[in-house]
Amino acid sequence: MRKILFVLTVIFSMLIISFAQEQNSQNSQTELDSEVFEISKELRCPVCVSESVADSAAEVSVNMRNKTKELLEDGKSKKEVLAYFQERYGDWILLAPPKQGVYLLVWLLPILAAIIGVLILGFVIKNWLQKTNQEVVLSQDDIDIVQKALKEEN
Amino acid sequence: MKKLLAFAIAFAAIAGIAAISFFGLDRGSPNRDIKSNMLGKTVFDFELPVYERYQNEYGPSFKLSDYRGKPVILNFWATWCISCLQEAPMLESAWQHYKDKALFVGVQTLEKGKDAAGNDFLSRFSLSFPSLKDLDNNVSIDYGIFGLPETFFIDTEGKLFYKHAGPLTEAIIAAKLDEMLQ
Repeated sequence: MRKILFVLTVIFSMLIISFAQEQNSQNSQTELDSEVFEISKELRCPVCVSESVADSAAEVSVNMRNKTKELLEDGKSKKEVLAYFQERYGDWILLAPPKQGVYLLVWLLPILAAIIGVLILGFVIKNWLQKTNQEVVLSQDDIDIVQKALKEEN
Repeated sequence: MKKLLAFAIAFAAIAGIAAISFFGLDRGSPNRDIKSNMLGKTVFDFELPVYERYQNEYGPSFKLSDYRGKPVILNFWATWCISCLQEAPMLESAWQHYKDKALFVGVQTLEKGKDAAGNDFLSRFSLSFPSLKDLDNNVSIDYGIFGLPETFFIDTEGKLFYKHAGPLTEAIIAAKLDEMLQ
């Protein structure tokens, strides 16, 4: 009886370990796939128009996704994977331009334009308010016209 | 004066936004001749299988670094690429003309498992310079290919001298080879 119990315990433990390993492998595969997707979203499909490697079905994009996966499996970080493609294709391969050098302008100019826009809008509104608050000076002729019109109405 | 200042600021803002939009559109164009990141640098070495018809002369695989000392004109092609079809007869004629000065090498890429179509392509244009198979497209990534055909002029030291996107002409080959051999 003891022997049977022992064998059953061993089989049960092995099943649990095998299940846990399978689950772990599936989790790390999902994690890897989502990391590949995240990186691919930042890479431009070389043969498409403004489409990311993640969204494109072109053969070169499929290959770039495979390469990304291969590099991640080799232990490369996201930064290193992006640098790998940058080294081969140049900065062009990045969908979002790097936040350095001349590309910094692309990031800063919209903010600057927005600030300038808000300032202009503020200036215009202030002008309108100033004009609205000004006391209206009526001439005697204007007053006569209004009074005459009121009398006729009554 | 205030109006002038406001106008100048508004103009600067619009010009800035227009510049950004233009920059964005320009980056997205696939037909743009994008300068290779490898210009002046040693190109990535590779070893690829050679099409059977060239194996007597070049062996079953071709390693680029084995050919240092002679300029190499590396042409990436595919059977679905119309410009590659248009370019092929000119490449053969240029190869016949310049084979003493440089080695022409074709690399079929971005079409896995299309050996039969590749063979037809080589027969159709009687291409006598070696052609290789970039089976996993890794070489096309190493060379930053964004369209076909693309041609890389590699000097005797294995550095990239010039990259041409789109169909070549014999005049370009002659001019670039002359520059490279000076």
